[in-house]
Amino acid sequence: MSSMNRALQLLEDWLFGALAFGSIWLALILAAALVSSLLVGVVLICGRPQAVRASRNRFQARTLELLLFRHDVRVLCTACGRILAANAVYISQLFWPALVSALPLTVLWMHALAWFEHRPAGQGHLTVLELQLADEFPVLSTPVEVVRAEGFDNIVGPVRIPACNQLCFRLTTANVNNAEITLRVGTEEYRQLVPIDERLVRLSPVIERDRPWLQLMHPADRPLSVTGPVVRIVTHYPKRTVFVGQWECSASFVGIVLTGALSLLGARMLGLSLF
Amino acid sequence: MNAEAGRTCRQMPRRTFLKAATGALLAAGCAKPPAPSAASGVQRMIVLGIDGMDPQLMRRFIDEGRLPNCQRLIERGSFLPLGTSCPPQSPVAWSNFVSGCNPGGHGIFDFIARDPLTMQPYHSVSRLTGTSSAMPLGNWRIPLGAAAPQNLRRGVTFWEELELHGVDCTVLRVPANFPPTKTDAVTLSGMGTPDLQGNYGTFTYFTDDPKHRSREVSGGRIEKVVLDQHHVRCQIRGPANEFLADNPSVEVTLEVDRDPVSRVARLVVQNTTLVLAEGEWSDWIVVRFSLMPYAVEVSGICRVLLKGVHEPFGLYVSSVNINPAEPSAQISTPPDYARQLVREIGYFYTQGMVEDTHALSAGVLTAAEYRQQALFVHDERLRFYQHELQRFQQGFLFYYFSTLDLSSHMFWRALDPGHPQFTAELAQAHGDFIGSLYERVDQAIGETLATLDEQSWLMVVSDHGFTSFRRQFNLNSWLLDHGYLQTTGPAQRAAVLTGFPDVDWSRTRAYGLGINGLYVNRKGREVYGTVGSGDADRLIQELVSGLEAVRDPETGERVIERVFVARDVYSGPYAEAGPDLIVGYRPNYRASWDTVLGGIPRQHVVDNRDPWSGDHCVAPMFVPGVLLSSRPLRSSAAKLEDLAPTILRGFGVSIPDEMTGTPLI
Repeated sequence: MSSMNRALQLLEDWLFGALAFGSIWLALILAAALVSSLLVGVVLICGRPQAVRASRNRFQARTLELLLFRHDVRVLCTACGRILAANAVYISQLFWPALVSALPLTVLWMHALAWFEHRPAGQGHLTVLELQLADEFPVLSTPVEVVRAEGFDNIVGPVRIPACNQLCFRLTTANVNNAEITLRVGTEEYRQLVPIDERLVRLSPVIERDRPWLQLMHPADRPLSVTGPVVRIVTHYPKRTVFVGQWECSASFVGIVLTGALSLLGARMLGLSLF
Repeated sequence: MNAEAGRTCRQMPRRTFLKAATGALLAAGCAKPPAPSAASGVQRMIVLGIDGMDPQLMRRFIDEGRLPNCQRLIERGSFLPLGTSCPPQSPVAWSNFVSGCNPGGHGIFDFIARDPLTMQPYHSVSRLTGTSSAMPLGNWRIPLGAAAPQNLRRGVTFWEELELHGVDCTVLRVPANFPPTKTDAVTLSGMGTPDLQGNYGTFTYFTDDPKHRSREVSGGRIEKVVLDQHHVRCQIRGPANEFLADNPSVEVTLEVDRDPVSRVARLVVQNTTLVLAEGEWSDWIVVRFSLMPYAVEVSGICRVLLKGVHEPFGLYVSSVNINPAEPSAQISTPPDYARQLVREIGYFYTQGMVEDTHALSAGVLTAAEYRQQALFVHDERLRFYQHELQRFQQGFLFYYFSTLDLSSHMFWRALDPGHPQFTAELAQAHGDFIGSLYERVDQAIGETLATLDEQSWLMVVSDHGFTSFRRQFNLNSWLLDHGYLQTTGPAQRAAVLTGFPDVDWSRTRAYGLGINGLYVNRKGREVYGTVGSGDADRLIQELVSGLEAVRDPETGERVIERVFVARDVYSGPYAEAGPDLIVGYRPNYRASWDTVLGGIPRQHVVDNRDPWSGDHCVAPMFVPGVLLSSRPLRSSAAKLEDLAPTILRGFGVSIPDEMTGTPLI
């Protein structure tokens, strides 16, 4: 899983890194195009377009039959069953490509979210850093120290919360491109990079201990050590939004809509008629 | 049609011809009329509304060299004391300004009005109107029509006239304009815009201080909380839920975890996590109140102040403002303007009266904390103004600053050694606050002066001045003790009772409501009216002479300078809707807080022990406003209602008959 993460990161760093100074819309369209081409490719390879079309036609025919012969008692009695059966066949034709594409799509989107879900804090903005400690390291008796902090105007904390065994800091970012804080919790040191600008960068809002499925969910940074006192580090970055006209939307939502639109367009261009 | 034109028509395909004809018709119908040629050569006019700028204080600070830009403006153009409205209250005064007429023409007579059919008071500027019928559905109710706020100010505004004549207008935060008048101008509502609870500001203070108990206070609520393992859940109150029976308030939870030792805490509300140290204010927090799960929600914004972390814990939550990015009521024209502003400058206060004077009066905010908040407001307003000024090229721009007014109300006691709330420590710590605000206003004037050219005109307008408010007069107590007001039994002379407790309307002849209003209980107007039209004039004369003779039993001074008869000072279609008499107090006196809402305390004149220590609701001649102009003015005396005609004349636009003011150029 780690190798896959690293490979995807390399690909995306190369893809989106070039757009760091460019438009968020361009990057979104590029990401959506990448995911949708994968989706269409999987459907092309795993699906059977002729069979899909045939089953869809059969389903439409059954519906038409019911409309045309609704005065016929025999049709009325059997139509519902036949429509349901045709529908089930149609869905089953789509099931296999959907299943095959689900895993790579999820992984790809998780990686894309690391770019699009959040944006870095702006200069002078406030960011909250939360550290979840393991149960065997009670927050009140575990020593915490800021070893080094660069690129911050002000650091408030830690707030120690015994009820949920957490530590919080508030970081005020300064007029630099990247800020970095190093904390010593117990005997372990943790370094957290906080990018400061409006460019498109890969962010790690959540870093967890090294478990494959967690890496899949939060793929952007190296995982935490399994033996250390910190289980999870959460950095509260602001959500990245884009404006569609005057409406403010989440960038990842716009990405999903774009992916759907580009997938349908791609399928249509390749002669795949699913709907 | 000549031959050539006929040939052109014949050569043109029918569809193309129809398209062209439709386009031409649309262009003719929808395009703005050309801007009138301004007789005075004005292409660009800026009016800065500075609520509560006092001419005497301004002159004093100019003489001390603290207001260099005001000095430059006076040298360049002119300075006049500006006759204020009767009564000199901001909603009335600014309505005079925008409509160019007295209250009889626009219908706003006081902060508070009363419904003569129920005798209940309401805010005079706007009111929720619409159907209240709903279809019950178990615990839920489906409203069968939308209730909507209605702007109660009548009359035509000068910006509507300017827009009609092709002058682009931007009018920001002018009082008494909620919801904004429908217009093509860019407007943002100001004083009169409620918070999400529908009030003019409702703070909440969460504390475990044993000195406090949970209770409602004027303009807010104090909520006693218990911290369990350094954790507490606070409920932020939002709007009433119209979709549930009994309309309970919707709430969102704010979770606070404090450090067991250090003076810091973490706050979590919905998707927002904050870390605050003791004494710190938060940025804007967006809160969403769900009225119907997954279907209807209302969004608001608020700020919090972590007053204390340990012994005692204290968290002040400001009133929840309408979120300008997702406004639940119209606060701007065009409606998208507020949203666009959030994109450009970030969130901003939308509530009309922002500075939390109630929290200072209730002892929840200290004077220093109030000052911090007032400066947030002023700095935000200044940033907003600079943003608009930068892109303002031509047409008309109005911008309103409120901080000077509300801070003068709260800190006048630091300037007046005769005030019951004056202390040497207060004067030492905050005696210069009002002066520093004049300097900040002067900065805005300086930035505007720097943008003026030959075609520009800048006016700085304040609606009234200020005086001290040392003693309170209980008008209804005086009316009761002189037999004009009657109660059903022995009167409950408690200061906390408002809304005319135990008043026997069938024997009452006159009653006081609002800050300066005195009403005759007229037959045919009030639901339980007792005074016929024949007796009203005699009663009015009796009240005028009686009230003008009232003296303060402690100082022997006259309390009231003059009682104005409405029919002598008001004219216009709404003149009959207001009070019959307007009580013009002498400096240092004002109607008591109990009088405003119909309370009947025991004494007639009492000390004012509230931090709200300066006021302007006295006889208008004592508190004129300020008019500074970058161009010389023709007149040597001006009043607020002259300004709308002056602005129209400046752009060469004809003055409508409804505007009774006189142009100053």
